[in-house]
Amino acid sequence: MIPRRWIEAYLRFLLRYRGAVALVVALVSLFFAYSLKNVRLHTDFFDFYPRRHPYIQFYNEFRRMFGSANIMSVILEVQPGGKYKDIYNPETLQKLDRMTKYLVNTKGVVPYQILSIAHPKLKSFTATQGTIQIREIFYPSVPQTQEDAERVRFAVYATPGVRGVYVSEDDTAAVIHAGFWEEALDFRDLYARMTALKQQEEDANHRIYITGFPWLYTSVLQYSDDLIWVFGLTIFSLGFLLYVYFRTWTGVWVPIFSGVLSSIWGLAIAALLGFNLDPLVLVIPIFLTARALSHSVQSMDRYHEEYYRLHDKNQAIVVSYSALFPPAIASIVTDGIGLLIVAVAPIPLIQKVAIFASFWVVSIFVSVVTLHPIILAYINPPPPHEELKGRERISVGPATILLAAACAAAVAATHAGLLPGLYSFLAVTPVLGWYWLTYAERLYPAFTHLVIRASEGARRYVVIGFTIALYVLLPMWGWTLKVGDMTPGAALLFPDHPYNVAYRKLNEKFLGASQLIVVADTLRPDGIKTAGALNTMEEFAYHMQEAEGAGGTITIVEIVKQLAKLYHDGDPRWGIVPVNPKHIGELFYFFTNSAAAGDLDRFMDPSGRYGSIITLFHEHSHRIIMNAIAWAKEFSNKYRGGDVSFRFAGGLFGVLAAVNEAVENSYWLSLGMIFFVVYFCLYLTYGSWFASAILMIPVILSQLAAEALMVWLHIDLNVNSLPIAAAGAGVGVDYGIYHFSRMIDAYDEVGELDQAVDYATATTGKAIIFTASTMIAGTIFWWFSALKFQAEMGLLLALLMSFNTFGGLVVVPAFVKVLRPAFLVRRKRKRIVRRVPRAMAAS
Amino acid sequence: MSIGQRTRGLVFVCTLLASAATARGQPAGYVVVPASKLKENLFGSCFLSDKEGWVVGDLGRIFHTTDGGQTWEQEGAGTKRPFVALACLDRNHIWAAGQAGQIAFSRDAGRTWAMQKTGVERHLLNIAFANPQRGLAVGDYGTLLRTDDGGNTWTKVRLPDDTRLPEDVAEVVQPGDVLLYGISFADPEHVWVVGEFGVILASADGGVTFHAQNSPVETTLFGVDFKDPQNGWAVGLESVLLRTTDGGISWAKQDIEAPKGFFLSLYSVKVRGDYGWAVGNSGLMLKTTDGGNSWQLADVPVQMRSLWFRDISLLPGGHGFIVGSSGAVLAVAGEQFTPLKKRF
Repeated sequence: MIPRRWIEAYLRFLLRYRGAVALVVALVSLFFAYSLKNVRLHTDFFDFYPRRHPYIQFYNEFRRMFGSANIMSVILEVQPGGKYKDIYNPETLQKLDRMTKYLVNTKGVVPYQILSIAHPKLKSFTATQGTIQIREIFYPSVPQTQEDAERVRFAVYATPGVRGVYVSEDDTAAVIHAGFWEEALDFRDLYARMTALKQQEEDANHRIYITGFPWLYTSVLQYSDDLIWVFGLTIFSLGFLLYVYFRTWTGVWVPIFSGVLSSIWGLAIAALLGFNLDPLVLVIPIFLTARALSHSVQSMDRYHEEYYRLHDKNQAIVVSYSALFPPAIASIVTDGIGLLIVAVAPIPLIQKVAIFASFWVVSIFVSVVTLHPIILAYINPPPPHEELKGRERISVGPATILLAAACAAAVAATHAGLLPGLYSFLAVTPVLGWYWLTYAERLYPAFTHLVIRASEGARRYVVIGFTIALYVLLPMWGWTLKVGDMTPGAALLFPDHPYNVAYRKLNEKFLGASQLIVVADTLRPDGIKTAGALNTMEEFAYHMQEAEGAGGTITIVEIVKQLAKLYHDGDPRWGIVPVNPKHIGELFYFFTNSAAAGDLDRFMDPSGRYGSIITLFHEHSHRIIMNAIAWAKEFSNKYRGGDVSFRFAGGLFGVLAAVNEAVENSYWLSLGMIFFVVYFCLYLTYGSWFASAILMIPVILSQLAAEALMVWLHIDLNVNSLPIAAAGAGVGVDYGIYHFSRMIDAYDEVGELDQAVDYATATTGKAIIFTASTMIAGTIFWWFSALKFQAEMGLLLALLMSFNTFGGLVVVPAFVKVLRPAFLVRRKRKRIVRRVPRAMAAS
Repeated sequence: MSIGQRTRGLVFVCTLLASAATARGQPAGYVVVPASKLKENLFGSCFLSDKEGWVVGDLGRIFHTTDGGQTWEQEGAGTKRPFVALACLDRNHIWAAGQAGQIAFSRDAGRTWAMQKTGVERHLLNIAFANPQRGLAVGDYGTLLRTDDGGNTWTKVRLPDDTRLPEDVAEVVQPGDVLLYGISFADPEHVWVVGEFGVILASADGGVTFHAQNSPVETTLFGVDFKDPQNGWAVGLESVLLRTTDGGISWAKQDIEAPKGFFLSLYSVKVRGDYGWAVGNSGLMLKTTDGGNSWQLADVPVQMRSLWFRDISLLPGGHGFIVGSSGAVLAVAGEQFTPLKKRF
């Protein structure tokens, strides 16, 4: 513990040189505010990849060879009941041609990774009059007549690996796959271009659907605008809560000012370190702003309390802040380190979030602990409490019923689909505001009273029993929490979002678009061009087709077989890999002679050492991914020492598997470390292992609750939600700290444990309830976000905060009263009792 | 009891034991695949009834069904080199021919296979047996093999020199080098073989000697079928369908309504009684209900239009199976066909 006299010395220093300190803080803040212009709000795919994971190393090694894992799929569909019954007509095929060319000219596209039947790279193999033709599917040119279109139909039908992959199995849709380099992807440009494309090419007979990871993040970024109103609503509601609580404008602007200052510092450090902010984790900064606010309220409240007692501004500042310093420092340091620990995840995105969030929290030390005493010294002391009678036109009972009815009507309207959630909410806002404004004074004491009563007499054993029950029950669900996407499609967006509609369309009409790429390494140039290697690849491909969720495979073997067949009048009985390496060599030679350079890029490297086996999957849920890779490895283990060795794993599956594995491992590691650090910080603060253990009870309980909630709400634990879930775990201990510190102070004064605990609850409890309500107000507005991920995260954090409040207010007192920690009971009274506690606020 | 009888007795006991093992569960090493999971390109088939038969596909895989194709037991002859054609007379006489001159024989419903000595390395494209002793196999580069002892010994048959080849081809190709694709026994004595350049060879002595018949086309013929020594059909490139009613003395092109603008081929033809089928690439299927006098285009769903069909097994009652690419198996009954799986 920090000696009290140091704290008091620091406070006196602040008050004496308040001008100089304020100037320094102002200058630093100005500099930081200036660097805010460098804040970049964008997603970098490389930020998701755990660089040292073998799959990512594999991916980076072969990325240039077999293409990017980030593939956007654009589907052109002829409308049922429209003019056309399939795509084989000049108009549709011309559209497809224009769309393909348009995509080729889009920024960030991998030039050789645009695949559609309109692209010359996709070849059809046919034999006419005894000669083999390897031609683009649209040969000789873009279809102008129905006859040309019919020729395209034949080319599609005759070439294996086209239907199901590039043309839907029912012929009503065609897809263009476009790979994007992670580093060159420009989401804004992509959004503008694709929106324009849809406008140009969609008509009564044609619809365009877009899906795939590049488009997912492009779509997500469109919700950046949501941030403005979410932020606005949050600030507004926080201000309202503050006003009702303090009933002074000072009580509003001082905490908000602290929050804003912390935001400037936190965001500036991200800008100065060159971090880009992923819009998906922006719920964390707002959450942290609310944290700064809550510290501010704790200290303001204590200051008011002391001021009314001492009637001297400076003395009140020193007394209140010297009492608040230890818990404030303890919780800031714990939060800061807790957030920093999240950086053990080997994923750059998470590391960046961890570092700037940690700095953000630490900046609260400046914005609240340092600056607050100075601000308070400058401004007028709070006015005396006025009696607030006469505002109540209706008594609290009927008013509560009115509020409940309004809320029920709003919920019903939303459920019935009459009003979107946000509008329903806004509709009840006046009622809610009026109710809060009128009855808040009654509610806080009533609530506090309830909380105190929860640990009264034998009830404390009920609380303990309930806590133990939660400890036993919550893991039953919580431990089934799995990593990665649980739901097919994108869990970031609501199921009816156009992205998810397109995703379903793609999987319903085609063989699947999520790729697992495995590379067959023959360890020597031209090793692929042997029957042994090709047969093994073919066998592996058949094996992969049996994997759960697999739609089909693509390998060079299909081309070899097709050419072998065409060499013999197209008879399928010749469509097999020749035995003689010379014949295989001839087929390759023939292909490379008649096709353009690079047409084989997807299938093998130019040296002929590596061949790729691409398996297409209908979905990319974590289970499917892990099953697929395990299934692939099963084969490779059986064939160890054969003609080829298999290397894992590329494509979207490889990347996601790596990310998920990193998330899974680091989640447990960071949780363990956070708990350890929190516990250690508590020990440093209170010098008692036992007392610290009591404070850990609600922290771990909240974590268990968070996991159970994620399972119930079907929230995936992924690269985006991990930092948020971990942040929630790391900052939950604050309530316990403030509460417990007050218990110590009270015990020093009262000398009787039960009374001391109740007194602490009666005083701090009120502030804690209020802070918790601001925390909830700071996160709940995300619930109305049109972005599913942010809605879920907002709800999760709000629920997590409720749990933390419950733990800090109800669980900790019950345990303290029952376990009676020696640390508290046998505590030497350091100071003489200075005063008799005021009448309890609640009684 | 002679030695032969004793051997047969032993085989019988073994088969009994084997089927007892199947009844109790799958013997180790056999994978059972439902029709929906059959993905291999299927090159050839042979069915004993509308329930039991075999198909051959990629990677030397042989599949056996006893429930009309609903489930398949994966068998193999220990090679990854594909077999492309099958011949079967009963459960004890099954032959598979394929890549690099290989012929495998099974006398136990396909549980075990033994390689037969063919003495050739050429790709074999078809095999047919008239009875347990007499069979023919044809393939690449004029390969024509004959056996009279169930395949214990295979001997090369010389192709007739009187085969008429197209003029421009005759300069570079010897009549004995023509690729042979199809075989059909009308009875143990009368057998036909077809191949490149419209070549049709016929034998009236069980395949010992062949003579060329007059073919109205110069393009490759892939399949031939005789339902009796007089009535026969042959199919090939450019959706050619030939017919003879006089044992091949004269062949005539039959008119069919093939889709226009497509370069289609027919690979296989079979007529039994009134019903018959001819199948090819790009989902091309023709059927006859009047014993092969006229042929109609079968209505193939759009999902199957990019498949090829390579072989037909048709039983006397009009029941049978058609096999093709991506594990496609169609059950045939009269003029109806039913694909055994939904997605290809």
